[in-house]
Amino acid sequence: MSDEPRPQPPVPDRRWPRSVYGAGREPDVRFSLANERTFLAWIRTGLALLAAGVALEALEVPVHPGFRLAAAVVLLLLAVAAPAQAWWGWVRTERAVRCEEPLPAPVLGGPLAAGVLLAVLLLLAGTAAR
Amino acid sequence: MSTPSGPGAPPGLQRERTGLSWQRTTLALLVSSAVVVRLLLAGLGVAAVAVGATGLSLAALFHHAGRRRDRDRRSGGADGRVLATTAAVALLAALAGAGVTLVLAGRA
Repeated sequence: MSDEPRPQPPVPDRRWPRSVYGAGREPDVRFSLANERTFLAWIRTGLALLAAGVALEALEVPVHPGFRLAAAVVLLLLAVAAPAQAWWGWVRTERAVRCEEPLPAPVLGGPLAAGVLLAVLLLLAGTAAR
Repeated sequence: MSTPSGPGAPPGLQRERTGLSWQRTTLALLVSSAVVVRLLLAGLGVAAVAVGATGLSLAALFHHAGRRRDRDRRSGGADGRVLATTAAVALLAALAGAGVTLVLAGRA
């Protein structure tokens, strides 16, 4: 891929944020497009978490109310964090691609997995404690 | 998408896939607002309609953002502004949804 001509940056380059576009050189456009799709996947994940958190409380799922509320709070916290991960992940990845550095891991990857697991465990405990 | 990659474009229909990803995100927003409105109807009453109207407007915004991205890319001016706005909108929507849910849960 490195032999192919790369897209040239616009002149003058006013693209924002400068912390991304001021670094490195124009990447293969496919990497930028893939990065954008990852961004969108995080946005969708956040929307799904929001719907799940709202549903738990609004449907009054028949488990212990305390455990149910705790599970809903965990899901809603993740729903708020997911768009933040979407943006910061996009910035860090775009920068790494431009600078041809190793790609950063998603900061929220671990917490998301742990949070969903915790929510499931809380609901299981809530079923037992009902 | 209405914008075929054309000859000489990178293979893999990347642009089309990205356009479809925007469409998917718009649909996800519509579905989740429908779910939220339906579930909050009992607790919020008529105010739930306002939540639904907001969801519809945001879906229109996301749809517009996806098309704007495609235009920007062809002119070489695609940058982080549209994405930052999208993330901010999603974040505020999540905050609002979480807030309403917790208030209703506290009232119950």
